[in-house]
Amino acid sequence: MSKDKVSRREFLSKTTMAASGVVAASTAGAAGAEASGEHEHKQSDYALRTKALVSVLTKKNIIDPAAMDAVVDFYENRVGPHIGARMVARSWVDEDYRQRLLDDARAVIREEGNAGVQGTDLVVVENSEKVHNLVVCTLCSCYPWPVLGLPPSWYKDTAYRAQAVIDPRGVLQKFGLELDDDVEVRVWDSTAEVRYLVIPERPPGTDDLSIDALAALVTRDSMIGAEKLA
Amino acid sequence: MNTIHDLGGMDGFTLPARDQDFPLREEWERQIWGLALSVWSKPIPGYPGGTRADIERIPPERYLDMPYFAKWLWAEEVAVIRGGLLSREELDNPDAYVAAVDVGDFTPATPADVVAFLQSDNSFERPATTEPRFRTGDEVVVKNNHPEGHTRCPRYTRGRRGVINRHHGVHDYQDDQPADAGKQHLYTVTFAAKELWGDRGNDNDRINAELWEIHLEPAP
Repeated sequence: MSKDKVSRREFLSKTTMAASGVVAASTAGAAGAEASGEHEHKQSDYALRTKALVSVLTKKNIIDPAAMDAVVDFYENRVGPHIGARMVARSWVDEDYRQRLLDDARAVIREEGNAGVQGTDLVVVENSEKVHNLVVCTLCSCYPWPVLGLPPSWYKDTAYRAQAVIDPRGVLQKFGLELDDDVEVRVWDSTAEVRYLVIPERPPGTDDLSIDALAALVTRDSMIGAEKLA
Repeated sequence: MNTIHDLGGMDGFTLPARDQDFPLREEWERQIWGLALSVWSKPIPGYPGGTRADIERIPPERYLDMPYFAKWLWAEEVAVIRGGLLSREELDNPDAYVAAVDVGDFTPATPADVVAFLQSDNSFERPATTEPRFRTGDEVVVKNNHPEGHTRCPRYTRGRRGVINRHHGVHDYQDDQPADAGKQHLYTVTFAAKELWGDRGNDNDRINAELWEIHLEPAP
């Protein structure tokens, strides 16, 4: 398991480079439109309110700030998309494993010690030349934390949640992915406690790569269905 | 509740770029996340903590104006005040005298507690005591109900016809109403895009959502 100990930050910085050609890294939408002065004001207001809440609950011995730090450390350094990426890479080279993931992903992650909060009831779906899967949570921000870590900001954005179900092709196009008309798009709206992981198509010319090398090609967004691997 | 959190199918929002940052960017975001998950990992008996339903009750005009983690902050504030753990006055003056609160022999979650919780088997499947009403492939219609309380049945599916794609066994039922619904069989239901969106739907596209048995009836 030592190979899985790539930190989340490290994984994201790797995949940032992989994705940088697709969408400019600038902010857009609501966040971008906010005047910076007002933005600063709101941020300081949230910071003050959070500080007050933490301070009072700590004084009352209801929370331990060390536990709060442990939560952040867990999602920053222990779980993250490197776990899902390794599952995807193995599914590409191990037909039996791929089938087990598609049939009962929950059993697989239990076996691998990767079950956890918000993601034990995992379902794995796979992309092919003729099928493209896209995951969303229209009601809130449900996401498979144990295998992908915390959801990216775009996934929680009102625009993505609103449009992924009514115009998945338009969303994907804006994300830089143009799908042919004869490709079937399957959108998965996580309305209960079932969580989804997408197996993206294996990139061409990767026949000789090891599982480690393949896992390094798998981006977070490809496992949500928001991009194809080149 | 028919409110703003139920966003599926709305137009007019601007899609952001696919950012690649770690989602906890600001220090306060890290703190509220750590706080929410600490409380979740070891709840104080009799005190429910912030919930999705609390976030859904944020007034719609404010919901749209709040960054993601501000909604969590709102829910935690609402929950601790509702639970009587602290008062609005204490939150407004955190450096002033803070009243002790009787939580019995409760001790807060430790770092080891939260890590054990985050890695725990968090399945929502429960032992089945009833036979499922539907099988994979059955045609169903989503009941056209509009409850005033919390529901996980999105508006865009109500009254629509779909096909059972997968049966997940019995799961905790999360809606407020009816309160006596108990545990319910859970299904993934597949809808044709055209069934949901009319002319805007692509013939080749399918939208799937999880719905509990109580949300569904056999298609006529």
